[in-house]
Amino acid sequence: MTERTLLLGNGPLASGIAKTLLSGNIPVMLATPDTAISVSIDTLVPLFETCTETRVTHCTGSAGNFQVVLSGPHGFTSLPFTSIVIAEDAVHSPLFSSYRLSPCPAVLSLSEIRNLLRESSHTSKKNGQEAAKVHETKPCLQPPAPCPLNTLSAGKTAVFIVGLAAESYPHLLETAMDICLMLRSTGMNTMILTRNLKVGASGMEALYRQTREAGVAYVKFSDALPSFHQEPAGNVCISFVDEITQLPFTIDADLTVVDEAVSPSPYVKDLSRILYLDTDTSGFLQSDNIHRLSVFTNRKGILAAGASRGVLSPSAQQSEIQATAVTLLSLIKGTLTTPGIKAEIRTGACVRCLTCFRLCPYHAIILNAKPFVISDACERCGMCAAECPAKAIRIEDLRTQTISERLKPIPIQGGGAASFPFLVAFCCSRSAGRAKELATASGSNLPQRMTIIEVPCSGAISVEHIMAAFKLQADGVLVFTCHEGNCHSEKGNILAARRTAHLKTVLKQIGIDPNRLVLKTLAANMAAEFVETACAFEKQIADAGPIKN
Amino acid sequence: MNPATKQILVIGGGISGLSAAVDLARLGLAVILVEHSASLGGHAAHLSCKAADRCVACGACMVEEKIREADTHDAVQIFLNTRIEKIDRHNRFDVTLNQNGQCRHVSVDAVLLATGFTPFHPVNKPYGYGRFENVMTNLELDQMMRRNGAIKRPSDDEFPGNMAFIQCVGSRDSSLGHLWCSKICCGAALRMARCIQHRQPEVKATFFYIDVQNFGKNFQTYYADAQQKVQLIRSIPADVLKTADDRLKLSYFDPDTHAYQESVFDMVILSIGLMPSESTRDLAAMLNIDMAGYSFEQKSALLRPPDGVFIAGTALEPMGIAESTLSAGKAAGDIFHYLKNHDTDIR
Ligand SMILES: Cc1cc2nc3c(=O)[nH]c(=O)nc-3n(C[C@H](O)[C@H](O)[C@H](O)COP(=O)(O)OP(=O)(O)OC[C@H]3O[C@@H](n4cnc5c(N)ncnc54)[C@H](O)[C@@H]3O)c2cc1C
Ligand code: SF4
Ligand code: SF4
Repeated sequence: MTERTLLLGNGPLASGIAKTLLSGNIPVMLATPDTAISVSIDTLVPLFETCTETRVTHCTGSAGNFQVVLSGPHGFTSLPFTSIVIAEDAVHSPLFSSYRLSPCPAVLSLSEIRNLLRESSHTSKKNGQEAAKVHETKPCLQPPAPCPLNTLSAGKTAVFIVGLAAESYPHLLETAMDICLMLRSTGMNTMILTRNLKVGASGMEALYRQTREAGVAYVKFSDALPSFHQEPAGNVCISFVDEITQLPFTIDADLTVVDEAVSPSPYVKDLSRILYLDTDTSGFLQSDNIHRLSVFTNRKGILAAGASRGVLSPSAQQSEIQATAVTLLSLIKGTLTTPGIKAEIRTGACVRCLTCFRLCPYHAIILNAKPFVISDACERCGMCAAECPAKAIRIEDLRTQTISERLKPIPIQGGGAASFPFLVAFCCSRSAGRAKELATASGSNLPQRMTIIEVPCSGAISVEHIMAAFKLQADGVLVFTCHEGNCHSEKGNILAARRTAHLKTVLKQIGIDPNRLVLKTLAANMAAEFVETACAFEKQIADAGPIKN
Repeated sequence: MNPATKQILVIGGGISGLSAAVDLARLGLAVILVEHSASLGGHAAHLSCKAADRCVACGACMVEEKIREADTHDAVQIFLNTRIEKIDRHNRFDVTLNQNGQCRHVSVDAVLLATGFTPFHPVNKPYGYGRFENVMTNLELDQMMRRNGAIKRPSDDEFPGNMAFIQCVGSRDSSLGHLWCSKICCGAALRMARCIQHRQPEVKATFFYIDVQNFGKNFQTYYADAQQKVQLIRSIPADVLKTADDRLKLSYFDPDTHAYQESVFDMVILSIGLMPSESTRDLAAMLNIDMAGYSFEQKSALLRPPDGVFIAGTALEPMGIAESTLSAGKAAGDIFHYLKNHDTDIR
């Protein structure tokens, strides 16, 4: 078995991750579609291999044992890897068209001017601080001729547009502020136009005050935006009414700098498809699910760092590097493995409908002749077992039979059965399970005769489980799931809700009041709501009396 | 390598300390987690879920999972109600712990400060905090929601009809010398306002702000939703007064009409900021860390603790829960690296 990790990326983040992994004696192969490696590591390090013009085209297996097909200049190769780390850069696209401006020497993107300034100044303020480098479409290779910076001098006006057409990001504002300071020191007039000043990052409010003191002007817009008129010569005339003074302004900008949208690269989008990775609404390789923090994806053994997982400020880079290395080391040590009995497919019973293959959020089910569960990747969510139409999948401790044994009615103490109905509460252990624990710890009273069945994920609560509860004399059944968007298995709660809705119609058909089955979404910290729901349900069922049949 | 012989002292059982403890334990290191209060979780354990019809990824519930992970990990030893009495640096750190008056000595290879933040105390702000019952902090609002699952006016236990959220209380304030944005309060207030409206649809919410800061991955969506459902007024109120009928009158410069305006609310919520904690300073003094530059105004990267001492989470600078866990991950990585290079035992 290989120990080697596949690292996808070619920027400072990938470089940092490679160095950290190599220093921990973890072999790394770095693969990039770029033509040259920009990662500054002595490639003679015996554990380090690189390949350029190379893309991932296919991948099978799971954590500890991926088999990845790479397509490179010499064709396809299939190689084993223990894990995959994606550290690709995001794409920064200048928003010229949002303001109907055409790029020219007098209208530059934020990255362009930053790169030009970096090239022209040998004594950059951020001397040697590689971290601030943001990758984009490499405009620095061909500076627009004549170099626009040559025409800038004291008394000229530079206007920066940051977050007008769309909300921006602190790190872009920081770049604009840094450049304004630089231009101010040459005697230029500088102005930043924005909506919301994004100072929500390290040291930004102080930097904002510093730029104000240095004479950088700020104009904030809430509703009406300024109008931009680009002269044939390229320079831009900007007019607006100041919201505070109500005075009209017209500014002739010798230089207009436009900020950028940040999005995942097309390659990252390909990777999400090839590697079966969930994405957020922008296409970054991590869904908006807190269980993926910090660098997890939905797949064990595949990590997404930095600009592959979202828009992150370059100052977070060092943290991304270390957090990725720590996670990877734990993966390799096997300390991230979910303990417990894993799903198992009885091949004899499988009808190869592929429901499980499509459902598994962790892509732990692979297709051999029949579908097959990779034990290490299985997180025990139980969705496959609950949904398999042929009942071919089993997780031993979640079988209806096993659960039924825990569904014995609690004997009545004291008062009559009528006022203390027998309730069953199925709880997702991550959310309601914790909420119940908090409630008990704070001394809250729960219904007297409520049997709690904790399951790893509400996706495991099958139609059979709930029906078994009713068969075993439950007067009412509660199904607690986490909130939509908070499920560790992404859609276990949605499946549970669908099954509950379906069962309610079934209950109605067989003459049981469907209100005896209730679903409630909860978070782990909602102890008050757990108690309230359970007690209200107890009262409702007590009032309704036992099920008549 | 034999990391199990290495012992790390993590001071502070908030989300940062818990997260670092779990990360370190997963790397095979032994952790002593010291918390001076009676329970784990720090501030995050007082926050409420802000989900509306779905989870809004505020992160608050994550602390429950981290508590369980730390609690159940064999390599994490937890000491509650425990103070650090003394730290002596020899080759390792000799630490005296005081648990409810009982002293105990431990010897550790590295120390992590995860001592968190202090919430700004708004009593000197002109908003009537401490004088008017229905003026509360965001933290108290979260606690109320977490405890009761609903928001009611403290003065009469009635459901509020309208609520005002005042942002940047104690943050971005040059008169206080607080030149930092606390980062989390815009998101906390807007999520909370929408959460309350989901549970109590009659509530009208107004948000007084300077700039709306980004929060979470899906900021654009949440912001667009808030723009629809919450009245956003770009102005910070001058003061809050109580009316004869026990309501609260805010006066502010209205950017739309360009005139001073008064509005009356049932409740006023102050979005108080995050402040450096005294506890961090005290411990730093014990550890001989030069804290001259310690303020949330500075970039935390400027803090350079001595060898073997590390800092994570809001002890460094304002940050939310997600960033705190990232910061904890970084600290765990740095500690692992440090131990590897400072001992022949680990290869
Ligand atoms: C009103 C409010 C709402 C918020 N909402 C959100 C939100 O929606 N989303 C979000 O991401 N973030 C939110 N936050 C921020 C969140 O609370 C912090 O990010 C998080 O709590 C930081 O965790 P921490 O561990 O760094 O610090 P803390 O939570 O402050 O924990 C520090 C811990 O260390 C202990 N400690 C301190 N000193 C010592 C000592 N000397 N010895 C022993 N133990 C010590 C403390 O008792 C405490 O348990 C909110 C904050 C507030 C105030
Ligand atoms: S809204 Fe916050 S507390 Fe509620 S489920 Fe989502 S992350 Fe957890
Ligand atoms: S997050 Fe919002 S409310 Fe908090 S200090 Fe920053 S700008 Fe002000």
